[in-house]
Amino acid sequence: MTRGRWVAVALVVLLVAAGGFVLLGGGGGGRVELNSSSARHSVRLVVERARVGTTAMEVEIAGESTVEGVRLEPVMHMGHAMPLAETAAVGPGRYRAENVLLEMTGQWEVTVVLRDSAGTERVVFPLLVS
Amino acid sequence: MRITATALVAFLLLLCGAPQAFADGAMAGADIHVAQTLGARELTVVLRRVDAVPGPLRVNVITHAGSQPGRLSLRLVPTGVGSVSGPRTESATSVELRDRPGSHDATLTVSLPGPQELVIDNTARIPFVVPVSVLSPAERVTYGGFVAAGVLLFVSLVVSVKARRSWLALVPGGGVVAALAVAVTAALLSASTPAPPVPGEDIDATVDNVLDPYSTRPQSTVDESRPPVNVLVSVQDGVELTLRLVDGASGRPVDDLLIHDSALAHLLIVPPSGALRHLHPVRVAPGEYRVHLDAPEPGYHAVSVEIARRGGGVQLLRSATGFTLPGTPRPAVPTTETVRAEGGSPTTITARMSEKRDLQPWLGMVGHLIIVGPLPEEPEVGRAAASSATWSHVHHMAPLTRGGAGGLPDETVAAYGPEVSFTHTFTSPGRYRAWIQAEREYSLMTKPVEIVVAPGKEPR
Ligand SMILES: [Cu+2]
Repeated sequence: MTRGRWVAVALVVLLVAAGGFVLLGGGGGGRVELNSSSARHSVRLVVERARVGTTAMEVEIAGESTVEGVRLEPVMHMGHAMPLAETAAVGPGRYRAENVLLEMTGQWEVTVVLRDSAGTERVVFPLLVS
Repeated sequence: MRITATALVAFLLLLCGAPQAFADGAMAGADIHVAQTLGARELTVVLRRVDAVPGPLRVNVITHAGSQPGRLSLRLVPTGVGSVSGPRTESATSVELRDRPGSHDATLTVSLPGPQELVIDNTARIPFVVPVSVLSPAERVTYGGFVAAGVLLFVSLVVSVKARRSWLALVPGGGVVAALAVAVTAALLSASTPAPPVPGEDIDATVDNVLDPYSTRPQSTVDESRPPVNVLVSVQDGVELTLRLVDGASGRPVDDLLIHDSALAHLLIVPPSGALRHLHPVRVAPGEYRVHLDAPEPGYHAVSVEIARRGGGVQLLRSATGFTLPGTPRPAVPTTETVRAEGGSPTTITARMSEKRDLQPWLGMVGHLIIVGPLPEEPEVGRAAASSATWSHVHHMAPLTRGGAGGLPDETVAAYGPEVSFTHTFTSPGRYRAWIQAEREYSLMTKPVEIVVAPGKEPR
C-alpha cells in the first residue's frame, strides 16, 4: 500500500479511538469550580486540586461586595471535621486559603462562612475528593 | 479522501455532542410523598415526577379531617451547587385549601435540574432532587457506533461509485466493521456496567452530578456510612418545639436527611396521659426542624425521632432529656384492649380499624404500630416511656399495585383494611404500651393497646 493509504487507515483508527475516549470520559485535572448563592451573595468556590493532599481554595463573591471576612470549614462526611481555614483577601471580592488539607478520598463538604455588617452567612459546597 | 475525512469529522462531532443531546431527553425519578406538620395542619405534600426540564412540577397538598381552610404559598427554589453560574429562576404559586379534606393541586415550574427546595408558607423547606435520565457510557458508545456505521456505510457507497481508485472504498468499509464491532461490544458490556451512585441518595447532589451521574464513579474503598445523630429538643412559648439534629462526630448540623416512609423526620411524643403524638416536623433551616404542638399537655414528655441519613440506614434518636411543660400532669388514658404475647418468638397483633375496606395508606402504609416498653411502675406514661428499654415502629404494608409506576399508593385511595396486622418479637417480658394507627376518611385513628408479654418457653 502507498503512504497515503496508511495515513488514511491510521486516521480512521485515531478518530475512532479519540471518539471512544471522549465518550468514556477522560480524567479531569482535579480543579473544581462550584457556584452557589446565599440570601445576599453569589459565591464561587475554586478548589485547585480536589485530590488527597493539600490544595489552595479561592472564594469569589460576585458584584459589589460588603463582605468583611471569609473562612472555610472543610468536613469529611464520614464524621471528620478539619480545622477551619481563614482566608486572606487577594483582590476585590476574592479570598484565598493556601494550604487546606483534604485527608481522604470521598464525599467532602466545604462550608464558606461570609461575615458582613448584616451578619454571618453559610454556603455549603459538596465536594468529591478523588 | 476528502469525503472520508469530512464524514469522520462529522462522526466525531456527533459523538462529542451526544451526551448533552441525550441528557436533555426523558426524565427519571418518581413521585415524592412528604408528610408535614405545618402549624395546626397535618399535610401530605406530593411532588409529582418531573417529565421535562424546564417544565412543570405538579404538587398535590392533601389535607386531613378538621384541617383549617386557608391559603398556602408555595415557592420552588433551585439550590444546586454547580460548575456553571447563572441566574436561578424561582417559581411561586399558592394553593387554596378547602374546608373539606382532600387533595389540592398546584403547578410550579422547574427551571434547572438537580437540588431544589419547595418552600411552603415561607417556613417549611423540603429539599429534593429533580433527576435527569442519562445514558451510560456503554449505551452512548453503542448509539455512537451504530450511527457511525450507518454514516460510514453511506460514505463507502459514495466512494465506491465516485472514486477512480477502487481501494479507497475499503477505508470507510473497514470503518463500518470497526464501528459495528465497537457498538456490539459496548451493547454487551452495558448490561454489566455498575449503576453510578444516585445523587441525593448515595452522594450529595450537585447540578453537575445530576446531569452526569457517571462522572462520579463508586469508590469501593470508601466507607460511605455517616455518623449517628444527636437530637436537641427545646420548646418556645409552650407550643413550638424545635429539634436540632447534630452530627455525632463533627457536631455540625445534619442536613442530609432522606425522605423515608414519606417524611424527613418522624417525631413520636409520649405525653403524661399517654396520648401518643406522631408528627412530622418541618425543616426550617439546615439541621433545624420545627413543629407546632396543638393543645399541649402539662408535664414531662418522652421524645424520639426516626430519620435516615444519606449513605446510611434509618436510625431512631431517643432524646435523653425529653421536654417538660409547666403544670400538673393529667392522669393516664386507659388502654382499650389488652393483648397477650410470649417473649422470644414472633407475635402477630391484629386490629380491626374499620367496618369495610376503606382504610387509606398513611405515610405509604396501611397501618402503623408503635410500641414502648417494658414499662416501669410509674403513673406518668411519658416518664415510663422515657425509661423503657425499647421503642419499636412496625408497619402493615400496602400491597404493591401491579403494573403501577412504582410509586406509593396515593392517600386518596381508600381501599385497604379493614384489619391491620403486625408481627413483632418481644425480647423482654413485661408490660408494654402500644398505639395502632390507621387512616380512614382522611382522619388518623390512634388506638391505645396494652401488651402483656410473658416469658418465652422456647429455649434461646
Ligand atoms: Cu411518621
